[in-house]
Amino acid sequence: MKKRTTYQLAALLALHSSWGPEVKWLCNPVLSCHSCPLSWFACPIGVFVHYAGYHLFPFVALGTVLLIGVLAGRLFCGWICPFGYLQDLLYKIRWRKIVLPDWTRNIKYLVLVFLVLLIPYFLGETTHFSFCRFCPAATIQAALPSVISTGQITYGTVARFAVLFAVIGFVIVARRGFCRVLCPIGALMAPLNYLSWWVVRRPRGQCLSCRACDRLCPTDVHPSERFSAGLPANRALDCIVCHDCQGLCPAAAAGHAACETPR
Amino acid sequence: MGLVVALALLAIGRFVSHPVALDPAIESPPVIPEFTEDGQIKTPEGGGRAAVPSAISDRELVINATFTGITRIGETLFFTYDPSQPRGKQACPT
Repeated sequence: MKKRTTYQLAALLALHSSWGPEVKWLCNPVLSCHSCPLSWFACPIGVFVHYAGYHLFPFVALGTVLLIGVLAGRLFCGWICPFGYLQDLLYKIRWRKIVLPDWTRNIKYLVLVFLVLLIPYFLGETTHFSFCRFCPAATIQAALPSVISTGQITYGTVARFAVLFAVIGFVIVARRGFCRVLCPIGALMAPLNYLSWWVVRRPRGQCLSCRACDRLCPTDVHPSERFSAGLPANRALDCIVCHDCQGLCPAAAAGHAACETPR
Repeated sequence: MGLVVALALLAIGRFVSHPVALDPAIESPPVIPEFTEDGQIKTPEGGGRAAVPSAISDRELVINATFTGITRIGETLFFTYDPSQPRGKQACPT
């Protein structure tokens, strides 16, 4: 099992292991619904939706997310996020795969602005058109247990599950498709990759220009371009800081001397 | 720079409080805005009903936001539950 997979599995279990105590004032910047009976932390998106509805500025919630983002960038997306882990697993299903056009990456910013901030601001925090109403993680973690326990199915429930199945189909064919196209936490954390103290350094060893790192990259952010420019690979909006480009570099594995020549 | 902004937001959030009224539909217990060190509503000595705050900290508002424990009507925030009662795990209706 890959080191990252081990961390993802451990995080999945650890984040959903609350037998009673909670730390719900702390927003954990991963897509994990705080309505899950076993969750420890608050979901920043759920909190932002409510603050938008309250017409208040989320000092503590935004401060927490910003602090984590400055320290680690989108490291949590690659190593901690349970929904990211689910996407990694679903992408392993043998099916036809697609390459997403670059413009689709911008959709998540619209999701953040409209479904998380503007619509709850104008229609209230309990509006049926906020992101929480369609969040696939919330459907798995909160709506599904609720449907099983109560047996109640509304139009809203049907809409939620329709979105969930559409997202599942999407991430089977598009690697980390939800992160790249729809995730509002990804949109929130993306600019922080440029500020983060955490860096994905260029692998030791002479670059073979094989672009293996580009092919391995789960979010197609072309780390080779930054490696050849002498920049950390995670200085890209959609990098989930998985370190796959660094750890699986064939040149580094072969133990070549330091790469200094840009491609 | 980012770290400074993050710490500033957390510092401001530490001191910000939000006025919250009790939903008129909920029976009114005495209003005493007091919290324990860990952010819980202080229970009167000798047990009995806890006091209901008239304002809550930003941290407490985050907790309430996780289960829609507060709603906005007009420009006023209201508790949607009786905060003087013990609060177990809560699910968000959204």
